[in-house]
Amino acid sequence: MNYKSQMIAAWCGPGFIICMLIGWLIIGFLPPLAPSWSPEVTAAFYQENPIRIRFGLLFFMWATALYLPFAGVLTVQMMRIEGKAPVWSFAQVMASAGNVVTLTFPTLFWAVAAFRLDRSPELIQLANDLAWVPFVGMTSPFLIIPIAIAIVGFMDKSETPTFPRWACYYNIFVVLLLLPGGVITVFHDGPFAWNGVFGFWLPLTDWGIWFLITCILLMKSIKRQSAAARSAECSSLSDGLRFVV
Amino acid sequence: MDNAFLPQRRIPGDPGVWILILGDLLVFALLFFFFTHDHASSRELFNSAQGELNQAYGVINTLFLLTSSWCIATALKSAQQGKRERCVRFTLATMLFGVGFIVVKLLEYVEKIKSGITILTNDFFMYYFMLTGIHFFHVMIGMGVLTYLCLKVRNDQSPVSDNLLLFETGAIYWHMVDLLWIVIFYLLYLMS
Repeated sequence: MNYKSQMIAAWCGPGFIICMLIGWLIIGFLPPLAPSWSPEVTAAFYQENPIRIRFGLLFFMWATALYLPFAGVLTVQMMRIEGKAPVWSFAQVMASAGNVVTLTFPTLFWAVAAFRLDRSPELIQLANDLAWVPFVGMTSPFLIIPIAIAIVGFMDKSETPTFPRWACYYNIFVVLLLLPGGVITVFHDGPFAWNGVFGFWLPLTDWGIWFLITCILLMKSIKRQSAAARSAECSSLSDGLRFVV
Repeated sequence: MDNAFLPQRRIPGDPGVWILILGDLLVFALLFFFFTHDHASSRELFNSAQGELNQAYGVINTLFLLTSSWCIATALKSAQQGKRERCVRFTLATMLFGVGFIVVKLLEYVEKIKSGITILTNDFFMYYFMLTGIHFFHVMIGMGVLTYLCLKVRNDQSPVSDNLLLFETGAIYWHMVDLLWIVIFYLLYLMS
């Protein structure tokens, strides 16, 4: 049993969140830039502290890398439940890979926005839009992950399921909340814009809670798996001894 | 106190589903709060925009959903009594009213868009399209749930009572869809 390596991968989940938060705080993305800002105001944000933004983005970049081991251990634990035809585990793998793209591409565009500050403000605004619109609005590949977890969780007939039924329903709730994410492209201000309560803050909170719950459930499942493996080892050892005696 | 004399108490449906129900209600409560808040700060605009809505559509849809809620409750009762066919019939009736709701809603959307009203027309119509749109998604998912329940009860050879918990869970979701619509109907079509 690769208990330790699985645990390390599971801890990459909280690592991802912490690294991302550090990055955001360094850059000053909380609260996010407003889509209603004029090109000049948007450009000024980048022109005022370019060094801070560039190093903050570095943290952000590292954070997205930490997502991958987390997705790895999620897949392994899902496959344990699904058995021989792990369709939804594979769907989750692809969605996780896609999710990393939706996180890294905005990072690149933010970096481009902060790269040449003497560019015309309209162009800086363009790079800024190219980053924020997919970052907040591109919920599509991610959405498959909670859907897959819910389906696999409902399939799990074991005594102590990795994803208890309440967690499956929570995953469905996350899907329902994130489903209209794409409408941020319609609004430049108000609660549904990319910096609004329903565009940004509520989904972000919900997503953070989802991440935490998933991490905790995975760690618990890994612990149970290793305990079961150890007790199986013990019993086979005692069987062997009895045979010898 | 001897509890033997009290009826057995339990949470209806799969207990976990209440996470989904309460979470969803919380999100909608927040949406309603923002709507009433903006309504209070620009009363004139909201009231004049409300005049452009066709209340008949709202009333018909409310009746549709209320009836469908009654149908699913009756279907559940039939399932509890082991009447498989009656249960299937009432689930189908629930779906029929659900389809009715969807059709009326689509007609209303088309009418609004044809008369040049969109999600960007003003704040009232932003809320109108967002609230009804998010609710519309919930109805669509509800239709999927009802279809699943209907097929499960119809095709399963085991006694109907085996699917009771599942059925109850689906019915709770459908009731939530109905409940949310009633509040949306009041806020958008009636409140002034």
